[in-house]
Amino acid sequence: MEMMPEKPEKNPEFSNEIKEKGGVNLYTCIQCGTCSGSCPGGKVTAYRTRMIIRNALVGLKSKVLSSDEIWLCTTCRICTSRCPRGIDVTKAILTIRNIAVDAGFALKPHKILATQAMTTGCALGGNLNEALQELRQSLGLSRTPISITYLSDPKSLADYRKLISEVGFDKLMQI
Amino acid sequence: MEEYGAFLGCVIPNRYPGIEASIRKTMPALGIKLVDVPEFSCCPAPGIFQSFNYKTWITLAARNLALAQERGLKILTFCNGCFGSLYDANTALKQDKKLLAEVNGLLSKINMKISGNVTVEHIGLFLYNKIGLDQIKASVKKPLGLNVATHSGCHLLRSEPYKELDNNEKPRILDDLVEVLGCKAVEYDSKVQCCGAGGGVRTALAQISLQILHEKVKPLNSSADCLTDLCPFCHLQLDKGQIELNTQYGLDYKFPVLYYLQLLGLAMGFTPLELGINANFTPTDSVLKKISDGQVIIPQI
Ligand code: SF4
Ligand code: SF4
Repeated sequence: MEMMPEKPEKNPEFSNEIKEKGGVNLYTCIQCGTCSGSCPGGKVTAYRTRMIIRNALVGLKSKVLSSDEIWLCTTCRICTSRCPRGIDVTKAILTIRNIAVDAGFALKPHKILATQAMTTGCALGGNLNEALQELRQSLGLSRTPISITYLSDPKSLADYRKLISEVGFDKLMQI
Repeated sequence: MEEYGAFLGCVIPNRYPGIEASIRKTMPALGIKLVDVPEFSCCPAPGIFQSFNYKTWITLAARNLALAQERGLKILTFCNGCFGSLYDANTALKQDKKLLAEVNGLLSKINMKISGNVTVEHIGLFLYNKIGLDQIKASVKKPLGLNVATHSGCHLLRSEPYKELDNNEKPRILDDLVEVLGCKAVEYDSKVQCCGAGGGVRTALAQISLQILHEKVKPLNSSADCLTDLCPFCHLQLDKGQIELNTQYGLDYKFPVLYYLQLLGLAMGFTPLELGINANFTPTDSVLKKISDGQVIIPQI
């Protein structure tokens, strides 16, 4: 006898959660596909924005949260700009990502970058090699950049880190 | 001189010092005094922080806004990401009193406070709106005579203040800014398309990011001498990304990319070396040669 495919678990509350956490109402979506048709990621991959919205609407929460697809969005906002129903699709995807990260789904390179930014105050880690320092100097700039992106101000860095631990972002990054 | 808090962000000082040089040369020439605020942190990078945790994103952005507020400074950003983070955070705090109270509760732990009333400008809209095309035109000493394709970038084009000024499906603002430098703005099919870097895609899914870039640069052809942009992260993708496309996919892209203030600096008479144009990854010799050839033609009677 052929095995029946496992029925996906449904969570009808998922779109309400997106509405509550991100302020985006997906219920007015007419599944027209304008978002997919405009999406730069959709041009080069099988990523379909409309399907994410659809899956969220029908409550396929764990499927959506665990899919790599939600990380294909460049947040270009062209879907939001063109959606005939005025849905902030980009914000919906960002909200879904927030919920995914809370549930323990995050891509490793993102975690590395976030941890770097969390520790140094700079998304690039603030380690400038000798060649770039030379280049800065040759352009008449200070060898190292001025703001705390270079750990130059210990109090600022301490304040910044304090805020991170107050919000709990450091704990979130340990998941 | 009018004062602005210069928000340079992470990418400009750490990856494209040439862009920083172009900022520090061209802004005073337009009567703008830039104030450095050493206490500023990362904006924070919207692709990662907004994706991971909204509360963290808005709180760290609020700290930067509060630093400007304490000093009575308006913020001038030179990056679409910094602009997106700081402008959107400021707007959200202005509109949502509950959120504002919550963020202020967190800021109070480091003795700071925010009211949500900081002015946050993006260099492109600032030049167009506040400085004005006439004054920029008046600052030009050497009309460049180039054909230029423009890339404004998603987080500028599809921002609220942009929509108030221009049609973001057929954008003209950067084209106008280019044309007052004695250049011609040329159309291309992927003009409003994303460069592929944002949202953490370049960071985590580099191959897909490059494939999006390929779609972006494919339609650029010989009718343009170079591409210009208003965002260092787009710039990194458009400039260094071409080299990555070449090494990883055996392609042969060498389309010159200049940050708009580098073009403006050239038109103001600064040298390519002063503007760090040689520190871009794509070769710029063809552009510089066309500019200097053009100057030779001007009759010296
Ligand atoms: S463009 Fe808007 S209405 Fe159309 S499918 Fe996408 S989200 Fe739904
Ligand atoms: S914002 Fe994201 S989902 Fe929407 S079109 Fe851009 S890349 Fe696609």
